[in-house]
Amino acid sequence: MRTTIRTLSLLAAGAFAATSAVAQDYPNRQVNMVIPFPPGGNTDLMGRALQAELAKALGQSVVVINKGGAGGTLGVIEVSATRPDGYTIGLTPNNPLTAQPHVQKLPYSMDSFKYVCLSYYVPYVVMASPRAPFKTWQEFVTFSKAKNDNLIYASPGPGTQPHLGILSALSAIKAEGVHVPFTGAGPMSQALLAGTVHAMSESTAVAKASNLNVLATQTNERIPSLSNVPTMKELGFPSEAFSAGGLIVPAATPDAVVARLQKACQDAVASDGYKAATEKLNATARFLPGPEFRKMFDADSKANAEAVKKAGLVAK
Amino acid sequence: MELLDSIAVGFATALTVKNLAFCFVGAFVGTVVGVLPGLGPVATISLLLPFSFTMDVTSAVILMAGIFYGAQYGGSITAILVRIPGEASTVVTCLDGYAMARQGRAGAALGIAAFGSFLAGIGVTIALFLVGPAMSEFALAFGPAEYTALVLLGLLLVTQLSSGPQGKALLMVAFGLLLSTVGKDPIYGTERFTFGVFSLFDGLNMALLAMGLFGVSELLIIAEGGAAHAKPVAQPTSLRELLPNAADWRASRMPILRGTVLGFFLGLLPGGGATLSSFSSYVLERRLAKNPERFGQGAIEGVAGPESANNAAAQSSFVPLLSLGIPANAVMAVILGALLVQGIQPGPQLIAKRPDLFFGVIASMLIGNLMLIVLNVPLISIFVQLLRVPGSILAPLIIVFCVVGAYTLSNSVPEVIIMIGFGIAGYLMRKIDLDPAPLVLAFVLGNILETNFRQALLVGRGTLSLFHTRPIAAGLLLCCAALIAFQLYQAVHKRRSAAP
Amino acid sequence: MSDEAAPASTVSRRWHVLGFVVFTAAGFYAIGVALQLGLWRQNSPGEGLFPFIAAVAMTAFAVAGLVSAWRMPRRSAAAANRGDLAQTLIRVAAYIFGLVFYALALNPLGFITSTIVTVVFILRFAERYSWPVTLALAVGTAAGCQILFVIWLGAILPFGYLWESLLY
Repeated sequence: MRTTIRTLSLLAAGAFAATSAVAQDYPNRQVNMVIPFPPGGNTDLMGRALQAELAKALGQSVVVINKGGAGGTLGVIEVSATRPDGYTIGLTPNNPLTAQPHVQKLPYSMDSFKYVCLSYYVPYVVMASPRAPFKTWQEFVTFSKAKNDNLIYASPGPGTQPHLGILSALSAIKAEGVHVPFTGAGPMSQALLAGTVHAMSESTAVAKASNLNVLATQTNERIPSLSNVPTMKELGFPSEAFSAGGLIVPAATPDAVVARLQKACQDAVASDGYKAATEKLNATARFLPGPEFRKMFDADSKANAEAVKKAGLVAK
Repeated sequence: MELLDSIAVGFATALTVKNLAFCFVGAFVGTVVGVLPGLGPVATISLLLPFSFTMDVTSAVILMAGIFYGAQYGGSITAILVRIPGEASTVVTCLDGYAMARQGRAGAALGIAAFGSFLAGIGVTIALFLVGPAMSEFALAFGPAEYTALVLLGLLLVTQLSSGPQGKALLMVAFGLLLSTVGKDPIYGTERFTFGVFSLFDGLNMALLAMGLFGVSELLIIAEGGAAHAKPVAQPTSLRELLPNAADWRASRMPILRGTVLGFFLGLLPGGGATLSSFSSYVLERRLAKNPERFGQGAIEGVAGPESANNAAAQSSFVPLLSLGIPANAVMAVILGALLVQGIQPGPQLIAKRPDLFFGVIASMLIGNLMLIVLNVPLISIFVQLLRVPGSILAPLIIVFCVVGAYTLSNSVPEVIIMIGFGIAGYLMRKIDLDPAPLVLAFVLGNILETNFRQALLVGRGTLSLFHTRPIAAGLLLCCAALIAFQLYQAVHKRRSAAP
Repeated sequence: MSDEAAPASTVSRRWHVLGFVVFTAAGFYAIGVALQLGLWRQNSPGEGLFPFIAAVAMTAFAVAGLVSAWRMPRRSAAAANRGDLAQTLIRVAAYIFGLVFYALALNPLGFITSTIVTVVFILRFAERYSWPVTLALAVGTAAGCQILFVIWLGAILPFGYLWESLLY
């Protein structure tokens, strides 16, 4: 029954969406922004930072709907199946789109969406437990390479962004280690602080919250707030890991609506309020227009496909 | 001297008109969202997040903390009155609290929940002033091996937890453990019993399980006789008769104290927190009781202990957050976000740098608990009148609360269907005298047990070394062994004395 | 729970046996799944180990329960009046149907409409209230909950695809 009514309403929506008049006075009511992660996480904070500024730029209120679960895919499925009229948009980081399709069977792909804009970028860094047997990058490399199961590293679960991040770092230094997944950020930080695990790859916010030792950044350029920490590229082991996200809409959304959203997104990302909020969250407010945003995710997806295959995480 | 300074700074911050107002609003809103199942403190606090970007950070945390511990109390109200647990941590309150309400003692149950929470809150606040910052080391002493041993101990106690015959309780424990393995494998990510349903990938949600097994199954019981004919249970009308009497107090004194201590320590541990503490307190009280068969039939200790424990844990979970940056639960994760947005980095240096924040929040808890009791005790007589509401109004309300509660957990319909499924299962299980309480307890423990045991093995590189090299883990395992030995001894002793 | 234990004990031996048969079957199914998942991987438990232990325990206790249920006395004489039983079953089924309908109607019809329809269905057809009372209670419940959840607490409840496509 749900599907019949949905089909009917989609048909009706299609009839309307085809007329450009509707697209031109977009938006004339509240816009729902689906965030595919529960409240309090990084994506949620980024979304809530954008929410007010996006509302200002659109001239309509923007309501955040958290729909977490299954590594962010549940919320992205919701966005893929929504009416393509621009009144339900998604704010998603790269992982559900560029990594999860390689890890599990999903009813969507990269092509199910139009890419509106990138709105933030969070670089990942390799951090060490205060009780780890290494203090510096060099010691970390030596320790990890000494034996295959010397290094114990944490992640919030197989196939998550921090897992892919540390895999990227380890493949750059040609080392392996023991992967210990945790459920949730709390137990993971606790294990790292207590020395149960040695290292992990996460955003600088996590390192700062728990006062952890950052060994190297997984970026091409140094991070301004960590200007004394070298990048892995400088150290001779190029590895890039990040969580970056932006707005997406279903592929059938009219171009006029996407253009309007992209303009609003650009204004919102450029606003002082958004910049200040993202900076405090140890993220960078970064705008990319749709096509470039798509290109960035395509490249990330390709890299993840290999990493996931190598780690044996491919969907059965 | 330092202690007096901390107290002075704390109260100077918490007693400003603005912070008092935020504290009151937080406690009040928290009670309301706690009453409503599903719509928990996490959702409400995250709604406030954008506002907190521009608010004074201490006020923001005071407000959010108020919502959090207010919700712990609010959750017990629906649990006692209609058997719907408003929060995961109040599931056990359904057992004896609702039984008390059916006996016309809803007021005593609500009263002991309020006073127990209050006393626990006061106790924990004082403890935090005295030893707060130092307690963060305790949180770090608990790794995978310690959790495994702790949960194993809990599980041993759960197996004796049922009003029915032993075999049926063990069946429910095993079923609960099996249900806890639904979802993606915590280590390798393989799907287990998911049947391709995306909503099951992260495992069954404890709140759905409890709302189905307790709330919806109770609704179907009401439906049997016809809601119109469901006779309201007479409750006393004067506040004096409603509140716990002297005998109730005597029975509850020690459970409140034990619950507070248990909650204080478990609250410090991430991944356990308020839910684990209320369950542990219930199991402990049942174990210590002279006649454990009263539990589940309206034993006031079964309300007093867990309600004190969950409030104590809610408050002590601020310590790992503020002093280590470890969010012990989802609410703490949101508050951590609020702190970060304000440019505040939690950590050992926070107390030195921002004593007003750390001690101000702690002092506000004391005040907030006082406000909660002033707010809620007079309301008890009104809440109790809810039991006089005819079934025809109550039944639709229970339906809406359960369905909306399940929906708002992650704004999705499959969750509601899962809850209804457990409701039907729970109803049928009650028909053949299967008690859902051990099931829910085993479910909670099962999740923690499997993940931590396997983590401990990974960290030990495939050996059990963590279990005998770490003193706390080894100690807890010895307790398990002693408990098993004691039970065996008791069983043999009973058989011998039964023999002619 | 003493007053709820009463109807439970009137349920016959047949239901007990059936219940434990279901648990036994589910147990065997879970054992099968667990074995397929694998009990051990190099150096650490596989995905199936914990499900296997839980499933084996469940099956064992279910079989034990089945045996004791089998030994229960047959009490056909004490069985409740058939007419009453049918009435009860119809009411319980109506409630279950109402709940499932409510869940499935939330997205297409929206919160307010689906609440009204569900409450009307339950009160009118399961409880046999008169139409005026039914409608008053249904509209009252929907309005009250809309104010409490949506306006006051800011919960986000579905508006309804149907209304969306009709209105916009």
